[in-house]
Amino acid sequence: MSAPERPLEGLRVLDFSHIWAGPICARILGDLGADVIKIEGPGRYDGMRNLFLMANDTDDDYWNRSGFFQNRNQNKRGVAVDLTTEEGRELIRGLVPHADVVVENFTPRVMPAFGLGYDRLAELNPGIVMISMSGYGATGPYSRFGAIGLSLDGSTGLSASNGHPGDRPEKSGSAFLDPFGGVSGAAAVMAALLERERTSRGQFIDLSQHEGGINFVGGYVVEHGRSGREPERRGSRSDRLAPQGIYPCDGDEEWIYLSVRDEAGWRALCEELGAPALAEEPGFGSAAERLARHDALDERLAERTRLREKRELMAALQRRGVIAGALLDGAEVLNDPHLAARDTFESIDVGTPPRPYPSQRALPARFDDFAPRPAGPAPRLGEHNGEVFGGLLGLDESDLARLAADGVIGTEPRFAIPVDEQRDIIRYPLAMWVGLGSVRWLAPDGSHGLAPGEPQPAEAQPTDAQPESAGS
Amino acid sequence: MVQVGDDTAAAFAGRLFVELGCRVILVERPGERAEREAGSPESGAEVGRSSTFTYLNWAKQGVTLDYAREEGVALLARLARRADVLIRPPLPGAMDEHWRGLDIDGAREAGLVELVISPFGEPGPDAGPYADPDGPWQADAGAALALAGIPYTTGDPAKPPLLTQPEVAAHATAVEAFMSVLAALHWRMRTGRGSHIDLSMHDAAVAFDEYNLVLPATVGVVRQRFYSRIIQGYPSDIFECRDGWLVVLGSFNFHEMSLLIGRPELLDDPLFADRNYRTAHWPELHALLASWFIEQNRDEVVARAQELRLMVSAVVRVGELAEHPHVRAREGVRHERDALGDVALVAPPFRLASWRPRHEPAPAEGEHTVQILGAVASEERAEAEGAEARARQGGAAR
Repeated sequence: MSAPERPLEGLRVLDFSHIWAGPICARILGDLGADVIKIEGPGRYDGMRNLFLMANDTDDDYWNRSGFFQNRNQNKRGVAVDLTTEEGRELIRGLVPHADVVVENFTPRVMPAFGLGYDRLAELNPGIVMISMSGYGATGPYSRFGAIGLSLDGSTGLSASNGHPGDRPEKSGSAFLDPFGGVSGAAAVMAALLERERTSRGQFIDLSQHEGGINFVGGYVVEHGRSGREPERRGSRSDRLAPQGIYPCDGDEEWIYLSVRDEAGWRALCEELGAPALAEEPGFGSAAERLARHDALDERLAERTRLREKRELMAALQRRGVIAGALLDGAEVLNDPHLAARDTFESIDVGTPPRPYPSQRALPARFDDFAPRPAGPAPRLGEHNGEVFGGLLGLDESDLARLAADGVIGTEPRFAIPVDEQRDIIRYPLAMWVGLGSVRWLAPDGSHGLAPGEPQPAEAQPTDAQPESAGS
Repeated sequence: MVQVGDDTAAAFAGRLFVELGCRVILVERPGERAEREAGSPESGAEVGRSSTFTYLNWAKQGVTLDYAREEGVALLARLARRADVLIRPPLPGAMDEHWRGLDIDGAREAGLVELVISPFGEPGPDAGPYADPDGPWQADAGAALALAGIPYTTGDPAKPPLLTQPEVAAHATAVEAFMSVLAALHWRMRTGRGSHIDLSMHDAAVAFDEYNLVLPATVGVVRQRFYSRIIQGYPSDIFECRDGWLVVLGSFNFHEMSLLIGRPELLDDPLFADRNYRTAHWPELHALLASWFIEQNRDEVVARAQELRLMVSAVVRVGELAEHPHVRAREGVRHERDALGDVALVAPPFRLASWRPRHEPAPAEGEHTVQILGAVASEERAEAEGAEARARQGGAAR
């Protein structure tokens, strides 16, 4: 046997998951060399196929052109099987003996309802490792509750701990509990596979995304148990360092984060801002004093930071040993020179016609001895039906044709509504969003190195009342 | 596993290995007690057992050695050679260079997995400008998050952006470190070789921020700060109710949303008839919903909403978590004891069949230094004697 190129080569993963946490878990396993087969249905595909399509173009086979779907589903093969049919379920059960891992993130009732619960899978393959990545876990009174990362900010204690002082709780600007669940899920699978080497047995892994989120506030939970103290919402400040926060810079919506660790840093900050006397001013002589007068301190600092360009100030403070980070928007992150030097984004061509897309790494670590699989387009719906069912189950062309004719497998979605209505529903009203202020157009000259949006009349509004269905 | 330093990223990664049953040795520098002493006196900070330190370092062993000095680095190398996994920061000053001279490559060839967590990556030809070897930039979790794009879009547009606390980027780094080491252990199982892994907190934070990056990359718009909302539809917001707050994601199930608030006729209201109208007219819809939610009890709304399969969750306070019925049913917070009394410990993010709770408290500073370094010396002596004996036997055989 030839030497492996990657750690999980030779392993096979059946990926029933959708949205974010489950798919990114399976993508990581694929990037590390496993053969990942994503299982969708013609009538129930991963809903991410509908979100953020290249150039907002909903024509043709738009369901193969979603940015979100690309990020989470590369290095997978894809089949589309109707699990509501007995024949479809039988096809999948046929794959189980060929697999090492099953990934799913439905609520706990779904897989058993398809006859694909862990007990059944283990009968078919005692070595199978199954990870269930539901919102609230496989047991407990909330186990039937649906959840995604965006809703879990609330139930994990994170939202309650975030917000401006005295103000309402806030969620984060990114649903980071989803990738947290995905990465910890991939780790759990690899741990279970190592255990299988010792015991020769597979196992069921119960991953509750809710419990994962509570780990972020684990220190607060100990603190509450000891002192009864509830964490206060303190904006961007520290409870022990001062100054720390987010300060305005020159320009509209330009900001910098900075944090002073010690007295040398405090003096360096004041000098860089052209206010060395501030460092000596009574009442600001220690972190404790500065913490007590943080509002007044912030006003004084903001007077100075707003005169500076954010990246220039960041570099100047870093040279003086002060922790500082410019607040970058999404386009600026994609074009950050440091990330570019580290090949954080790989350009791939997506869809028909092919459009360039800056694919994001699923594995941020750099390994000296092996490299994850390079980026490539995620599978089109049902792209590998023939390859998978022919290769693993021995079905021939006529079998596959009959299954397709019967609707058991497919490569085209089955929508509950006419496809043209569906296309209208998922085309985003970008001009309306710009008018609301939730987004702004990318620089029209393409200076970000990205495809600029198509500015539309600001007064553009939806014109038809359309049924609410995502068809997936 | 050897964990050098007690910053959140390394410590949380170590904690996840504890949950797998590993023996984790925490290496601290003498007198460096910032994490031990963080927080209020009554939280344990006064005696070097702060709440966060206790949580992150539960069931580890503690060794104190000064890895800012050559003798300390040499001791660390001896410890690492007997470990499977080493997670460490860049070493202070010239110690990184000294470290490289201690044949760590040999240890890696023999199976050691070494993972270095740094703010912006290790220096090197492709390291990037923030990892300049002449003066690498520093970052904490806040700076890494800022440069990853998340605070830019967090909070109320009329107010300054918000950092998400506590230390999101450090937790992201920790779980990426944990996963990456497990990948490297699979690699070792296949090849017999260890690995060196370079993990930057900035890269880890960026990997957790797909949402803000997809918009410019696909549809040519840049996401702005817009409350606690997704931008594709409304309602997706935090609402105040009679006894607390709720996260409400109802934009994709407005039929069920209208049933929840007892207003099914809203489906026929031209202002709210479809997702885009509801988004365009969010202030009117917000006012209508806010006036309903403020009259309701939080947990009753959650129960009713989930019956309707609406994604609504309570904004749970930290103090509620330990006694929350769901958390209790799953033993999501268990109660242990240390020198200060009861410790409420959060369960790991996943449950393997072999998982068992660990009862040993977080170590006192240097609690196991003599025991562990003594054991290292004993093992080295035994190995040397064994090698010598084998050499003698080989000589006799010849």
